[in-house]
Amino acid sequence: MKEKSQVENIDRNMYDFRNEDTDNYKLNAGLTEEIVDKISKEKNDPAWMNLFRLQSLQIYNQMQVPNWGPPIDGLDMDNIVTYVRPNTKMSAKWSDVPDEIKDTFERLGIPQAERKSLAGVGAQYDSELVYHNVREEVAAMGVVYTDLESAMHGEYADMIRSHFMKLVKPTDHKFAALHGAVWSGGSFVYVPPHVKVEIPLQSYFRLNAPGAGQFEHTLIIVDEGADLHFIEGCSAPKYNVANLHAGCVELFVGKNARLRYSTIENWSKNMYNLNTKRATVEEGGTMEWVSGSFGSHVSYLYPMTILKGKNSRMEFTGITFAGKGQNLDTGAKVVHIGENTSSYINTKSISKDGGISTFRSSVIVGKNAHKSKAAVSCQSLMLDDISRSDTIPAMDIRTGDADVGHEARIGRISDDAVFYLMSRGISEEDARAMIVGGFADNVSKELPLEYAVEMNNLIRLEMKGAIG
Amino acid sequence: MTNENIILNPLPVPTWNSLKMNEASYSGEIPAVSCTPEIKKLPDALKLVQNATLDGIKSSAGELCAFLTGDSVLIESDADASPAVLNYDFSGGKTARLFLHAKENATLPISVVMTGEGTAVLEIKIQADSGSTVDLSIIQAVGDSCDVITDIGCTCEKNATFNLTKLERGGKSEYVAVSVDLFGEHSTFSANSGYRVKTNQSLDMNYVVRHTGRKTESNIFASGILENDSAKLFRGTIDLIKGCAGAKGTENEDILLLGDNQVNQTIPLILCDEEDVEGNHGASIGRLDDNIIFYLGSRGISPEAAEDIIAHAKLDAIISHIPDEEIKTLAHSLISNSEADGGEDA
Repeated sequence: MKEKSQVENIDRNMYDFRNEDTDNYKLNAGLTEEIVDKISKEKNDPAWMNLFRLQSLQIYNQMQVPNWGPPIDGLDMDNIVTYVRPNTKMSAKWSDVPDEIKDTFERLGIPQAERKSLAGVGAQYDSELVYHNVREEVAAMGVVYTDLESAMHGEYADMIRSHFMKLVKPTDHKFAALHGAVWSGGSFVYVPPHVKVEIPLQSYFRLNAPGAGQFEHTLIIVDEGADLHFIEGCSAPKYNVANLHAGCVELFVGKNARLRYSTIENWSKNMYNLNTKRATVEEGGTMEWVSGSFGSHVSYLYPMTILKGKNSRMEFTGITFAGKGQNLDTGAKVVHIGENTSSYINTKSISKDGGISTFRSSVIVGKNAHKSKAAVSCQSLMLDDISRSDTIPAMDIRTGDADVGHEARIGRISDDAVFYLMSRGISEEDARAMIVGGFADNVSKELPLEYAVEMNNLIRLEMKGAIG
Repeated sequence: MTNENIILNPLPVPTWNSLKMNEASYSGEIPAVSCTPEIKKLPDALKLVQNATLDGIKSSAGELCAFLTGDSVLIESDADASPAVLNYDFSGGKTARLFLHAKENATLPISVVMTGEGTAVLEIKIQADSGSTVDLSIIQAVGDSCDVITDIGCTCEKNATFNLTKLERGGKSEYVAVSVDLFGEHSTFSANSGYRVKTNQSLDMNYVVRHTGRKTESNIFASGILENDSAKLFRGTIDLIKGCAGAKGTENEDILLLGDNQVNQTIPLILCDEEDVEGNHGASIGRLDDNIIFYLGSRGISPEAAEDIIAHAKLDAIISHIPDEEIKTLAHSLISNSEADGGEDA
C-alpha cells in the first residue's frame, strides 16, 4: 500500500483509476418529477422532504442559469444521472465495505488517515455513503456524526427539519434548487455545547459513475462554546462525458464556538463543480475556511459566511490552481450583520497552461455592523501567456464606522528568483515548483500535515512540464 | 428627450446580480438642447473647429452613446500649448459634446468647468497621437439638485499621455464614465478623482482602462468623502490584454465616511491574459481616525471642524494636479463647505 505522505509515491493515477460501472442501481438520466419522486422513495423521505424536493424542482425549472460566470454550455441535465446507488449498504465496519469500493478508498488513503489522525470518517461513493464511523471517545462526548438520511428519521429529526436548507434556500440560485430536488448522501454533525473535538472529522466524496451527478448535503451544528475541525475531500476518475457536483454545505456556528472547515477539492477535469457552502456565526463565534481547489473543468465556488452575532469573526484562506482546460471561478462572500464583527479573506490563484482562474468575492457590511472590520487580499500568479487570471472583488459598506481594506495583485514568477535558485543547482522546473509552493504556503500551513503534503504534491504534479 | 430606463456604466465583466453593481439604470431625461462652451482661454497653439467630431473612441457609459447627438466642438493641438479653459453652463438642462485631438508630440492642457442648474450631460472624446500629452481637468460644479452624466473616452498612441483630474462637487445623481485605450507602446493614463457626495446625493463611476500596448501604464486614484445618507459606487477595471507585456495598472481608492447611513460600494476589477504584467488594487475605507480627532481637539478644534479640515485636505491633494492656477483657485473655493459658491460665478 502506498503512503500518501511521500512525494515520490503520488501520481495522477491515484485519482484517475476507475471501477466498472456495472454493479449498481441508477435512475435514468435527466430531471423530471418522476425521477425526483423516485429518489425520494429510495431515500424513504418523510412527507415534508418529499414536498420540499418537488417544490425545489419547480424553482429549478423557473430559474435561469447564471449570466455572470464561466460558461456551462457543456452541462446538459438531460444527460446527467442524478442518483447512482452502489450495491452496498452503509456500514460502520471497514471490513463490511465491498472489496472494490474498499480498494478505492484505500488507494485514496482514507482508512489510513482515519487510523492516524481523524476522529471520524464518512465515505461517500456516488450517491450514497458506504462507510461512516466515529471514534468511541468522540461519540462518548456526545458528538453526533452520521449520515443525513439516518439523522432525518432518528432523534435529530426535528433538528434536521429546522436547519435543512434554511441557510442555503432553493431560491438562492438554480443549482441550489437542483440540490434541493435531488440531494442524496452527505453528513450530519452535531457538537454539543462546550465540547472540543481535538482531532478532525472527515468526509470523502468519490464519484465513480460516468455522466453522473453527486449532490451530497453536509449539515454541521457546532453548539455554544464547542470546537470542531471538519475536513472534506473529493475526487473522481476522468471520463469524456460531463459529470456534475452540486453539493451543499450548511454550517451553524454557535455562540463562542469555533468551526474550521477544510477542503481539498480534486475533482476530475470533466467535472462541473457548482457547489454551495454557507455558514452563519453567532455572538463571539469563529468560522475558518481553508480551501484548495485543484480539479474540475468548471467551478463556481464561493463559501459564504454570515456574521450574525456581535464579535463574531471569519477567516477564509484559499488557493486555486487552474490548468489546461479548467475555468475555475472561486472566492468567498461575507456579510457582516453584528456589531464589531471581523473578516479576513486571503486567497492565492495560479493560472497555467491555458487555465482560467477568476477570484470573485463580496464583502457586505450592514447598517448595524458598527465598528466592523473587513480585509480582502487576493494575489494571482500567471505562469504563461496563454492563461488568464481575473479578480472581481465587490464591497458594499453601509455603516460609517466600518474599517475596510482591500488589496489585489496580479503578477508573474520573478525571473530573478528563478535565476537565483538555478544558480544554486536547482533545475528550472523545480525552481518554479518551489516558488509556486511558497506562494501557496498560506493554505498548506493551515492544513493538518498529511493534507498539506497532499496539497503540495498536487501543486508539484500540476507544475510538471510547466517549462518549455 | 425622455427615456425609459437606460443602462449606464456597465461593468465589463459582470458579477452577482444580487449585488446590484453590474450597471446603473437612469430614468431621467437626456437633454436634447446643445450646450455651447464659453471660451475663457484659448491659446494660439490650439485650433477650435465647430461641429467636428472624432470617430472610433470607445465609451464605458453604456447606452448613453445612442442619445449623444447635437452640436460639438473639436479642439486640436499640434504644438506645445498653454492651458485652455472652457465653461459650460447647463442651466435648463443641456448636452455638451467636446472632442480633443493632440497631434504628434503636441500638448493639450485644458480645463472644463461645469456650472448651471439643470441636467448636465457632457461627452468628451480624446485622441492622443504619438508622443502627445493631454491634461484634462474637469470641475463639476453643477447645482446640487441636478443630474450629471459625464462620458469620457480616450485613445493613446505610442508614448502618448493622458492625465485626467476630476473634481465632483456633488449632484443629485451623478454618473461618470471613463474609458481609456492604451494602444501604443509606453502610453500612460493617470486619473485623479476627488469627490464630496452630500446628503441624498449619489455618485456612480465606471473607469475602464484597456492596456493593449507594451509597457503601458495606468494609475487610477479616487479619493472622496461621503456624507450622511449619500451613495457612491466605484467601478474600476484594469484590462491587461494579451500582448501588453511589461504593462502596469494600479487603482487605489481612499474614502472618508462622515456621518452615517452611507451606501459605499466598490468593485475594482483586474482582468489579465498576459503573463508579464502587474496589476494592483488597494482600497481604504473608514472614518476619521480617533487619534486625529483627539489631536486636533487638543488644539481647540471641534470634531466637526476636524472632519472638514481632513476632507478639504483630501480634495486639495486632487486639486494640486490641475495645471491652471486660476482653475485651482476656483476649485478650492468650490469645495469649501460655505455657501460662497464660486462655481456659479465662473
